[in-house]
Amino acid sequence: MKNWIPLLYAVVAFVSCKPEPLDLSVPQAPQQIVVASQLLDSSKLAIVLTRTFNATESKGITLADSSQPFPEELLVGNALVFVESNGIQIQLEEISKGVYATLILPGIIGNTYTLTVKDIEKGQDIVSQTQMFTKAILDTFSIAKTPDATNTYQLYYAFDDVGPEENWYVVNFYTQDLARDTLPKKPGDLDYIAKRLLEQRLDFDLISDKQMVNGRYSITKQFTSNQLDTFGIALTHISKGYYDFLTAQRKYNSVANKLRGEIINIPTNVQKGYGFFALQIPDAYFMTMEQ
Amino acid sequence: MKILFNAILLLLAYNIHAQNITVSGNIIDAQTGESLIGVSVSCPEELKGTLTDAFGYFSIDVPSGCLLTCSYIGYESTTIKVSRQLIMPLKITLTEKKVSIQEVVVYGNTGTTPLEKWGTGITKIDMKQANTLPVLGGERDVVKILQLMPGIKKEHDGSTGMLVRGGAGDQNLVLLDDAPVYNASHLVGIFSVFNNDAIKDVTMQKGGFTANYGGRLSSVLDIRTKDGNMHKHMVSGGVGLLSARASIEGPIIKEKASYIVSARRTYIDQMYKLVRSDLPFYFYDINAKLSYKPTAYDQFFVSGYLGKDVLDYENQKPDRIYQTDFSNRLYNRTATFRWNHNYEGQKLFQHSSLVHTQYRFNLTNRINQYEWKTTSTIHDYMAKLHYDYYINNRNHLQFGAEFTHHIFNPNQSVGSPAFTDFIANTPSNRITLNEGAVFIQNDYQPNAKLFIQYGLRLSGADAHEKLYTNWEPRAQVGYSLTSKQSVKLAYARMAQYMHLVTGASTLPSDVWYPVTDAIKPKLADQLTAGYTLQLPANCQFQAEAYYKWLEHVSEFKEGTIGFSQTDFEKDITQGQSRAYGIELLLQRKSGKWNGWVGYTLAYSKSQFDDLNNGEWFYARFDRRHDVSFVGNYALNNRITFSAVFAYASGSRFTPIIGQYLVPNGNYTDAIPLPIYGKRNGIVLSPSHRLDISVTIKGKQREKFASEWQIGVYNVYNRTQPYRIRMDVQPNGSIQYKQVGLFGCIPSVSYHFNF
Repeated sequence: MKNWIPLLYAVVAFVSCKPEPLDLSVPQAPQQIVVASQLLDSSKLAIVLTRTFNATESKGITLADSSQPFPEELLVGNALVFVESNGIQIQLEEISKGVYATLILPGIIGNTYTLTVKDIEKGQDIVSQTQMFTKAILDTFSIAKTPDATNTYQLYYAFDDVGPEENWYVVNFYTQDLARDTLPKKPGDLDYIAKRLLEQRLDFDLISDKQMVNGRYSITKQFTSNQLDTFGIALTHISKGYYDFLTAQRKYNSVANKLRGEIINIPTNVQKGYGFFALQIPDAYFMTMEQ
Repeated sequence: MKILFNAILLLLAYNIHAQNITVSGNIIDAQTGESLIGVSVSCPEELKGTLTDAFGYFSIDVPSGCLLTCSYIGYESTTIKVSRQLIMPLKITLTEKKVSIQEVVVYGNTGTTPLEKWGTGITKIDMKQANTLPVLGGERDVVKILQLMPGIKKEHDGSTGMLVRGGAGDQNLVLLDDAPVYNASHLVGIFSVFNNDAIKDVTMQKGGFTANYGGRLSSVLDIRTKDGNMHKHMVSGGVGLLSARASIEGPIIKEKASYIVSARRTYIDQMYKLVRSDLPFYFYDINAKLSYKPTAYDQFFVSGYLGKDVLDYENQKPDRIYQTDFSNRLYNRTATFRWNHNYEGQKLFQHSSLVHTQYRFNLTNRINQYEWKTTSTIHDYMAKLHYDYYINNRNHLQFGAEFTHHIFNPNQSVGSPAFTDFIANTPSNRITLNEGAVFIQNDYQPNAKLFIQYGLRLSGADAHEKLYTNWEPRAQVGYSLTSKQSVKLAYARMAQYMHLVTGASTLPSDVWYPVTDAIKPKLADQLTAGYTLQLPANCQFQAEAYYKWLEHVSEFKEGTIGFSQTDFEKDITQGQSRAYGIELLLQRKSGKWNGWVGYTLAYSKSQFDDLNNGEWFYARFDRRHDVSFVGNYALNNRITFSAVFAYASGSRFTPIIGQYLVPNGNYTDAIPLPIYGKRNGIVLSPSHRLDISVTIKGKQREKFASEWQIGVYNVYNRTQPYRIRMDVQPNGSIQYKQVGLFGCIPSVSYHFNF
């Protein structure tokens, strides 16, 4: 018995002596402007301007719960926002803090547009350039409940390539369920990860014309929804840069990358800023399941 | 008359030269019959000397009447008078000294052969002596000893991965009886696959590479296993905190054939269960060897290694909706058949080998009834032919060839449909690569002061659509300034035809890929300069500086998941690296007090067009300063105290230095996106720790020997950062924490042999 005591002591000590983690101070990047844009048609444009924030400081943002309002100090208010093309400059009006819009954008497909923002509060300027892209038409789509499964739906959609050059597209989806999600949204929880892996939620589809057959793209998808009530789908013809921007987003937010922790620098076309300035017109449809 | 006199002088000179005798033979341990590597065989009065090779062979031209002296640390020297009546090849036995003060003999260039005396970047370990040093959990590990030498760093605390002179982990050629070992680690790098009981000799080259080695850029770790006791059966083993091991060896035919089998198994999983915790991991490994010497001119060996790591994590809890399991298995196997032949001319030795090696890892994830499994494998089939020709005492010629048929299956993934939305199924993706090389090298020592080694290796790989070939010149020059000082200079070009591509993450998902028509071989040019000074009291000081240029080094492109890649060619990017530094070593090799102090100042940086905006960045393992203090004190013949203090600058990582929100596609949510800082731009806290141990030998008995080793690893419980943890706070902010792996770990182990 006496001979086992030192061994037992060693065992206990082995599993109990865990050193405390050390803090690490990481200098944070200076605050910069983030651009998001949405074109409803060739003349109606909205720009949302926000600010970057420190990764290590709280700004009242709970990333796990999107029901909270956007923190006001991250919105860029009182900025001078201009869009210029072919010598014509339009100033966007601030319709609420951080949101700037115009209804009279001279939208011409193929033209180059320059966005200029002068942030008077912080003394920062940003510039970005993009082209206005041809609108793609979502000519076919359907959605139906899968007969054998309770919460599974089948979606089909198809569209034609807009032209012979290289093209890229994004298809966004909107779903609203009658029933609430049974699991709380905790990104680190194992059950949440498993649920995300197994339940085929709609995200967005990124498509290049290399995936097309004879200039046409079609796909049938299944997805899970808790008593689907409202469904929306929008097809947008996008630039290569925006395609890369969305691809990087997807990779960063994937479950596999959350496990791996790989570095993914998100591309941007905003000089001295982040986000993406894009002039791309969606072809969008919404319906209720009764329809 | 004058002409006649000169003619007689010439004739006498010819006769004197002609009276040189080529003495060759094999030197073995008198008790075990094991061949002894690195025994000094010299004729002091003629200032001629050589060392036995990896199989205990030697050949030397000396005049008749010379007193040939054979000496080896820890053994009684023996002297043989050379005459024409000696029957070659000789079989010389050396007897171990009965009383020897414990010493660690980790020496750089202390041998009397030219290469070991003047060559650069050579480190040898004496297995008998290295077992006194305190190591993690009391588990004796030769790689942990090597990591205490200048120029050889570890990836993180407790890791057995080696980063040599700025090179990544895949740039080390690790050979176990000629067989390459692709993963030399158990338990994500905490233990090496090498069982000390089975090992006879460890030699590492990190610069000034000889032409017979190739295929990797940064180092060659050549490990030879024991042959087995040729005289009697013996059992040895040990029990420690983390593992138990046993070894049995003995003669099959006395003096002619022997066997040795060594096995080891860890029981970490069982120890954790004792304290009601959970670490479902274990490993085991087995080394085995058969040796046969049918004639005085021939030796045959068959040796093999088998190792397996098992991690099975089950998260089966009744309150969970999803039952999740994760399992990771690593398999390592090697097999070597070798024939050594001494041609009757006695100056020509042939070493030929047939080798098979296999490495495989499996990752399996299960969620309820859904499963996803990924597998990566490598098989090698290799043939090697190597000749040593001792032309005369000034010239030692080596030449040979080798061929390897590699079979890679880098990533085979099969999963239930639920998983394949984000990780596509990839069928078996079998890729073969044929790699070969021829080499020739001469060691030329015109006098006692100067040594020149020059060689050339021509290597190539057939990647089916492309044939790569590379000339790899090698050269070393050593010069004795005085009897106590020498300087040396070396250059080597190395080529590597496969890549182990790692991501930024520390998760074990590294996969080996061959070169293809798109992925080029890695190349390295290394220049080394060194200085050695012999000091009083058996001390030695060495300094070496190196500069290394590396081309076509590989990394994954950003966002690559690694083990789930379906088309690795598109996801690998190649760039360039530079590594340079200075290594200092002061050591005392024997005596009651012995040990060494080592210091390394090293830089390593890389540039890839696809990473870090094409700018140069420091490597993740660029740990600028590395210091080791190693000391042994032999209180008496039974008790030895040992201590190790190791300091290393922190490794590097890429932080998130900001965030921003963008709307999702339908403007119903905001998605957080990161802003990364400069790649590897942040240096973690330095690691430093103190380890102590005492080795107590049991009472001397004729047939049974034992010893206890009691130690403490990381005495003051310092955190040795090995990874970064991002703690997301309830308010959404992120806090970085540097997490350590091991704290203060006491250990006790018992070793025996009979």
